[in-house]
Amino acid sequence: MSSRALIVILALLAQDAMARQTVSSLKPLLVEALRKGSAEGLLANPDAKAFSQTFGSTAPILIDVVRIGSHQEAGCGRLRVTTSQAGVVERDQKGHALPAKDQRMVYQVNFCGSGRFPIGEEGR
Amino acid sequence: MRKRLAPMALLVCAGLAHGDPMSEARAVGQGSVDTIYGGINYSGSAWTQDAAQASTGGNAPYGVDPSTASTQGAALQAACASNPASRAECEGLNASADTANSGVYQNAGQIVPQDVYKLREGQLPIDSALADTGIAGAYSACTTQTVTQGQQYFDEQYCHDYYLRVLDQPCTKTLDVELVCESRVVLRVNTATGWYWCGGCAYNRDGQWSTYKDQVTNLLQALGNQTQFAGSLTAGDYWGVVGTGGAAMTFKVNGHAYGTGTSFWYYHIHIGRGISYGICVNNSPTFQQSGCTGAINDSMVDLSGQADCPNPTWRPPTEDYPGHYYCPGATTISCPAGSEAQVIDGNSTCIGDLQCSERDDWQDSCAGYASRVPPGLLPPDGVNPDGGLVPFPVATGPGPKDKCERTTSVCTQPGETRDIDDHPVTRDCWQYTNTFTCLDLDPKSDCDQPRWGSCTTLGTSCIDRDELIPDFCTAEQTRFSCMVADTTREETVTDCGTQVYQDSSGAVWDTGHEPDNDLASVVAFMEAGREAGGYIDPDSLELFKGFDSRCKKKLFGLVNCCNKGGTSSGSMFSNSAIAAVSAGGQAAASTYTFDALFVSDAPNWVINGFSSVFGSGTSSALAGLLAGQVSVESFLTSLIPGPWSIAMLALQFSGLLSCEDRDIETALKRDARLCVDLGGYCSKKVPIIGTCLERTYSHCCFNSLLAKAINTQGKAQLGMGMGSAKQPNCGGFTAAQLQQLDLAAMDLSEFMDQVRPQGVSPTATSCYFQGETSCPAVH
Repeated sequence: MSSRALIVILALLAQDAMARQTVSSLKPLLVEALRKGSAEGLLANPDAKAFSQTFGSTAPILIDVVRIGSHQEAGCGRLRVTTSQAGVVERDQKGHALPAKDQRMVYQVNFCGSGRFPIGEEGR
Repeated sequence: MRKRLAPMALLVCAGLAHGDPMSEARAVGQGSVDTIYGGINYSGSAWTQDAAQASTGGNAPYGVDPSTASTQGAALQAACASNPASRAECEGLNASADTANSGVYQNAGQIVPQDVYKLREGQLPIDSALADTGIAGAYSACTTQTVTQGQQYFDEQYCHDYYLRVLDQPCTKTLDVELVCESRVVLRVNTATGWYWCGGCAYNRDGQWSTYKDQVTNLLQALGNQTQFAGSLTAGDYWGVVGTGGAAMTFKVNGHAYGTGTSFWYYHIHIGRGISYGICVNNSPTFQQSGCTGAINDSMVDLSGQADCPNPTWRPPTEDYPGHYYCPGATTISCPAGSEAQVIDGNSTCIGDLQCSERDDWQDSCAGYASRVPPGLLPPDGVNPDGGLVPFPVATGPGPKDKCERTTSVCTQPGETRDIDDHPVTRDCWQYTNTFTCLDLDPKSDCDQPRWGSCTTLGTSCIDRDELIPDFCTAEQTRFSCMVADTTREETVTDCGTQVYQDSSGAVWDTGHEPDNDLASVVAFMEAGREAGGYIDPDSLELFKGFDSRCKKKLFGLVNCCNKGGTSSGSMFSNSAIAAVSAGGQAAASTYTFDALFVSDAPNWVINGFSSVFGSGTSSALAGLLAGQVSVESFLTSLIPGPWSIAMLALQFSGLLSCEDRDIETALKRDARLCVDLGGYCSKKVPIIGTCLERTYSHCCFNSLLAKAINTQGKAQLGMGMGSAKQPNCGGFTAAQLQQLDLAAMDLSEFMDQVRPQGVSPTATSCYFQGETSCPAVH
């Protein structure tokens, strides 16, 4: 990848990050996605900073949340959470740095607008 | 030997110790080689001295008496001369061309000291070390046996079957005030000008009865009657309407009922100069003048039935004048006192003096919860009992099982005067927002987790009952004994206690040495000294102090903040584990302590401990931690080597769990087996009905297994208890108390088990004694 292309990508990432709301935890994004259908955020808090430093990346931690289903408990729903960060350096078992790569993780979770997990998550 | 550790000795020991305990143990072990291997005694004579020391000039072979060396050398020389291949030593002897009697020993002596050195180095086996010395012989084999080392560790854990508690469910009560007005106004029949009817709405003068007849007819029909008219309206003498098959109407004058029936007759008979008129109901005179009872003047005549205004032409009550009717066509009226005549829509009526009552109508979404409050326990809205100025109410009955308690009541639309139907209505509060905490008959359990299947059930007991229905258990606790760690392993131990070396001359040398089991003890006592010195509480001067650590099981949800990781996740947080994944990690700090789990208990410990591990500025995460900007959990998470996604999940979900950091820390401490369980208690109740909402489990946790062992067993020796769940006694020992402790009598096996290398066989301990650099990690 040429340096020019890299600069363009970083610029796009920065532009995307600037357009997002900055959150200190995942919770407000989940709540907003329940209410509006989707939410985009940038995780920025001391923990996230330490996390990024551990993984050798200065790229922002981007979180996209989309409501993908309902839940039997009123005010709750099923959400898909996509988290991504560029330039992550993982280490092997011996602690040796591996080549940096872009990381992306997707999972789904049930959550309620009141900021908690559904009471009936199990068994109901 | 009875070992007593004087505090000062511990402090000195700790002060001198700069390496990690294992390195120190290794150094001690190597230093002890002289003792262990220093005396290989010749069993064939009275030789008792240390061979190396007694070998003057080093010319005597190891273990050979110099006084007999020449004799033995001559014998050996002769043997070699006659048969050069008879003994292994002959080759060296002959090669040296030394014909002196002791030459063989001189020759061997140049070599043997090196072997002694090697022996002292513990480079086993000894026959290998002596292979080139010219004195090779035969060793009796050491015996080997397979033994089980380590132990299984069990922890008492809990699960709960309970009915779900639902906290602080909001609801509102909004007030609507309805005005119910009854009019005192009645239309007045003025006999001087004609008949006016209200209710029946009839008026007329003599000879104009059609309206009146229609009113009666309509009313009877409205009551379900078939009607028939008889008589003559024009003659005016009499006429009547007879109804059949329906309900009766009531004929009233001045509010007094004068008869009820379906047959209505009016008669108007001129009697002389006067006029006699009256009404008959069901053929009975009910109202009459001149001959009938009652006065006609100023009479108010009301014709009413069980239906209102059957004739659609009658005007219904209006918004402005509810509850009264007026009759179309009325022209003049006179009104009773308190009422005045007015013309409305071209018609005359009487208005005024409405008698209205206010009826409160609550739009109440709290009713369902309120119905579940035991009788006597629901205070008025806006009243919040606190057991002090506002005393708690007393139940007058048990109430239902799924009972509720109102926890708060706040006026959210404060009192004011509102205009309702042009009527001022004042209330103290127009809306209350209340919250109710309830026990739902919705069974929940965390006892169905698969992990309990590998545990042994200890018993089930009720831990919370309905205080008003004592035989109704709302929460049960099942206790399990679960194996949380298993360090048992099969190890082959070489026992050379009976080993002898028989050299080529037939001399037998006692080279026996028994397996050494003291290493762990050495490390334990050294570590005890280190921890005593490094972790003394500067305020209380307590040693081996524990910390009150608690966690909560919330019965109003599924979260059990006391749940342990189940995979010894706490062990990730030992100083050694953290150091191992850090570039700057050195074993300068005690690797047997778990400082990271005690951030909130003793931050200075952590700062000191981590600083020695990482050095200053080696980790920005550490810097953040020290500055209080990074929680311990996230800090530790950030240090866990592994996939980015796992760490990211931990980062995100740590903010979603409703467990407090201290709960999580406690769980991790328990995972690392650093805690002593003290049981639990109900730490949060609904104040009035007493339903337990949250149980707190207490522990005394220590920053090392050794501190836990010394604290708990030391307290037992001193007759001190660990306290209770509500009031734990996690304190340490004073210097005076420590002097009284008998460490030798303590079972420190859990710590020692941590010290012993695992999975290394058969010479695991040799790494301590032989100065090897590849000793396995022990954590």
